[in-house]
Amino acid sequence: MRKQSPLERLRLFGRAGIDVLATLGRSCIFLVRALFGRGTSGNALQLLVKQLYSIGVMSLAIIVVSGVFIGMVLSLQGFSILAKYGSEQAVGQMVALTLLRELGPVVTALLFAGRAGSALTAEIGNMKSTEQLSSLAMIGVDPLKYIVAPRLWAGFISMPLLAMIFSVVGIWGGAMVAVEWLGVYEGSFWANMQSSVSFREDVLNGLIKSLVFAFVVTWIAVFQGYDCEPTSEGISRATTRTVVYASLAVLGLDFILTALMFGDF
Amino acid sequence: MSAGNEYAVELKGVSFKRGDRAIFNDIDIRLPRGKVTGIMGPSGCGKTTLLRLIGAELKPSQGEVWVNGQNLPQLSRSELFDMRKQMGVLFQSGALFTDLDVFENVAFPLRVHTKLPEEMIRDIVLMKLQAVGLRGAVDLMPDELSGGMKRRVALARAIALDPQILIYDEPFVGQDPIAMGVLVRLIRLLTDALGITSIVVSHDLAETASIADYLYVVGDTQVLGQGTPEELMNSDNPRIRQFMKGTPDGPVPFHFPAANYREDLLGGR
Repeated sequence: MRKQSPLERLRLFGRAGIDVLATLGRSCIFLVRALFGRGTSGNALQLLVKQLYSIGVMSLAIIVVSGVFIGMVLSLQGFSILAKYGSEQAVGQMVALTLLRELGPVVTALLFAGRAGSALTAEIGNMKSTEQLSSLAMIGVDPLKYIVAPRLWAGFISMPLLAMIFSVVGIWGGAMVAVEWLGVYEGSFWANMQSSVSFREDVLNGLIKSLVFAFVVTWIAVFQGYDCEPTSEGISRATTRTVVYASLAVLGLDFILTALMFGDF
Repeated sequence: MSAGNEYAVELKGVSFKRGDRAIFNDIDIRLPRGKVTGIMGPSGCGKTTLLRLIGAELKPSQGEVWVNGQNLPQLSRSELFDMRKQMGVLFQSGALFTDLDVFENVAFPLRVHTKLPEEMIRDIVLMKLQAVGLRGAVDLMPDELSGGMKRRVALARAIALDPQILIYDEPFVGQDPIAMGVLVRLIRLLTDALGITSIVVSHDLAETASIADYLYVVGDTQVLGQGTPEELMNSDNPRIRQFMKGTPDGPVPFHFPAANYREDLLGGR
């Protein structure tokens, strides 16, 4: 391989920086046009409902199953640690707070990126490669309004709901393990949870987190599909990018949001 | 307003580049209203790019593209989408919507741009499908159709709104002789009966020449020649003659620019 001069390396570094900025700029214009552009032709509500089904309802199974298992594991781990200090009655509180504040929004967003996000990228990328997006545009229908906007809104709406379902079934799974299997007194389990979980601080903050994650994950997924190179390899790379970028963005944003919401500054 | 009534589409001094490679360099093309104009040229010469410039999917690096009196590069995004309602485009791949069946594909432009009652939409869709010989395939999904059938359904969709300008990108590829004959007649009929301006991009010489009123031959970033099919057949220009007669030897190279063949084989990499 040819050795690069320092100047050439600097040039490539600058080029990469410009490319990143250009992509960011494109993705912002893309988002604004899709969300606030002139109204679409066709039935917007019908398009939204269709996407809510394929993005939200079709993700339910993975969310519910994962939620139950994570709640069960949390309960098992929490019980074994808390029992050392004689505080096993607090396991309900621990499971609920962990799920509502952290794992509900974060794991839902990661699962959503893997299941629905990758599907969104692949679907839109495939539409691009088979000229369906061009065809829509030539019929006089803006693909940003007809294809992208309903998917964006469906992601924004469905992910917070999925996160709530995740937390609820997780708490149920945790209760099942703690109460039915490990013998924690049912009254303490629920009473501790009820007394320590604050709606504003825990439930609402968790909801805000999942709204932010929904926005970022869906935006990344649809933009990667729309902006991908219209070849098999391009679609495959874009799908991988969606999962990687969305996961990293969720984890990074989670830290920032947690610091803002729960940090004592 | 540049384009008068005589020309539906005018490209004035248009240049287009992909990266550093020039596809077109200062070309002028005028497509007469209500006629079939063929755009021909060797593979890779930029015929499809030309269509995308006319449809404003691509912006020229330089020059003006006038369609029905509007300079496309100057239109806003929403004005562009409005303008495209006057156009129908038949893509090379058909570009049918894969989640809709044949009926819904053809009905799509009618549903999004009109408020026609369902019975009327049904009648129009069946009439358009009858015209392309696929009324019987109304319930099939796109993945159940052959390549040629997909393009015929796409043609039915392209004419669903009776556009003023119809652009065909390689309409004859993959058609059996019967379908080919019907398509050729249909393009001519649509133009004559409805006064549509038809732009046929193709390298199927015989078929295109048989229906075109006027032909452009593009290649090497330029318009190599233009005229009626007869004029081009009898052209003295060696490039035009080579293309119209389909001979491999001549000024238009068959091979993509490459290093010396012998050196390439013996030199290794």
